[in-house]
Amino acid sequence: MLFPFSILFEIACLFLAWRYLDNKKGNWGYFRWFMLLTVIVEIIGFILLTLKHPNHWLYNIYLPLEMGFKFYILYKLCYRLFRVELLLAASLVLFAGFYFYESFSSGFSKYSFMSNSIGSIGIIIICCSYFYHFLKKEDYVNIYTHAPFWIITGLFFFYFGTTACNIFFNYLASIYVKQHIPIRYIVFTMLNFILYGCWSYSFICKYRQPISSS
Amino acid sequence: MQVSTTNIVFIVSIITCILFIAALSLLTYVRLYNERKRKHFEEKRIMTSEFDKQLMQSQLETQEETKSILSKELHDNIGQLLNSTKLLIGVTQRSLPHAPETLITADETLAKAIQELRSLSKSLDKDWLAQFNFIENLEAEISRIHSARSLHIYFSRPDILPLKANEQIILFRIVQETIQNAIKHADPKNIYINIKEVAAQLSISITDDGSGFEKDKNQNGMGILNIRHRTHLLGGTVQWKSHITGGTVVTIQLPVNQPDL
Repeated sequence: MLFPFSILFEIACLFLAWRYLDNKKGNWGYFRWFMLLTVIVEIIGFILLTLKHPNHWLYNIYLPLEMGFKFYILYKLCYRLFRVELLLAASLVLFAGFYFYESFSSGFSKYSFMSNSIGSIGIIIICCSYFYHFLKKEDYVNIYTHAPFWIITGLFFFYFGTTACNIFFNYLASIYVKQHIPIRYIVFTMLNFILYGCWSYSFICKYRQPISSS
Repeated sequence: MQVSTTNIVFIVSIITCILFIAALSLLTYVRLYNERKRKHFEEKRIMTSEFDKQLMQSQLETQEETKSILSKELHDNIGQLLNSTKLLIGVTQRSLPHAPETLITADETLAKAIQELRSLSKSLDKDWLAQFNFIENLEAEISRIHSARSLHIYFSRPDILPLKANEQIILFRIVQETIQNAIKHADPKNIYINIKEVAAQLSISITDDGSGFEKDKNQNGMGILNIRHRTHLLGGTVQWKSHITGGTVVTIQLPVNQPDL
């Protein structure tokens, strides 16, 4: 059994979200609840795995909530910078289509990796558009203290980096079962560290910024 | 063709590394571009500030030029007319065995008017301002006000003012404007001007015991705007503290040993 480093990163991020976003209402306050949900799901998933029970059904339930939250946050962070609605709507429709197709075709016993991949591509495109418009706008923004920038950077790194793992999801799963090569585990641990590291930094930036701008 | 396990692991590792490097490159590009934008933004801010300063300085130069022309006009034209009138009164006085009291009073009043006109003309003259000394001129201005009004100005100052001549002129105009504002709007009995140098800062406070003013109503008046602009030109700050019940304190803080304007 491999040690679940990702859960440690998530717990650390949850702790920082609770510490630094305690007085933030609305969009930023939702991060606390999302991180709490993520940690609970990951812990239950890990327990099920330890007890040799399938846990794909759990991640299949979590997937639309995760994508829904991330798309919502992307909308809130991007809508002032550019017209993100069309990209979001297209990503959501495609994701929902694939999610229902996978759920009906193979039930909840198999992880809906195709819908996850589609959602990932949507997030990557929105993140790239954000960077493009961020550079295009005339005003200078200090990226080292700009909380939205680090949320987007974390998402971008995570979803861009996991593309290969998503494409070869089935192969990697069977390789791990047959030959115990934890390539997916290594990639996800590394990228989770980057994602939750960026988010934690973003929460600190948000905490230090008294007047909310987004 | 069947792809081996090693190949898949290799492909996934390579693609992940490439994507990670691509993401890192994009982030580095964003950071560098943003840094360039910061420099551009900073340069623009400095240029705008420099432009504002130059604009203000040319406005002041125009004002000084206008005052200088006015000074010459007062001295050469009106001054000469008054002198001629005084000469004629003198001749009339001497031609009469007993000069009437009104004529003597008129002669004295005219002498005072000529004196006033000379000092006014002097205080407006730009050439004379080239060898400007703030302390001497403010003292002259105070004596001029003392002779004309029932108002007392107390002036406390250091021996030397650590400002260049052109800066001293601007400061003189600020103090002159402040005093004129107080006389015009607050009708004070006493004005206290206190100048001291503390920690590379020249602090000038002008306090009056007049009627005071409502800060919000008068904040954008022409006089106040002039004072603000001039103080900004010297790189300093100005503050007004006034009570509606009476009394106003104007505090000007200027950095000393600044580079040339």
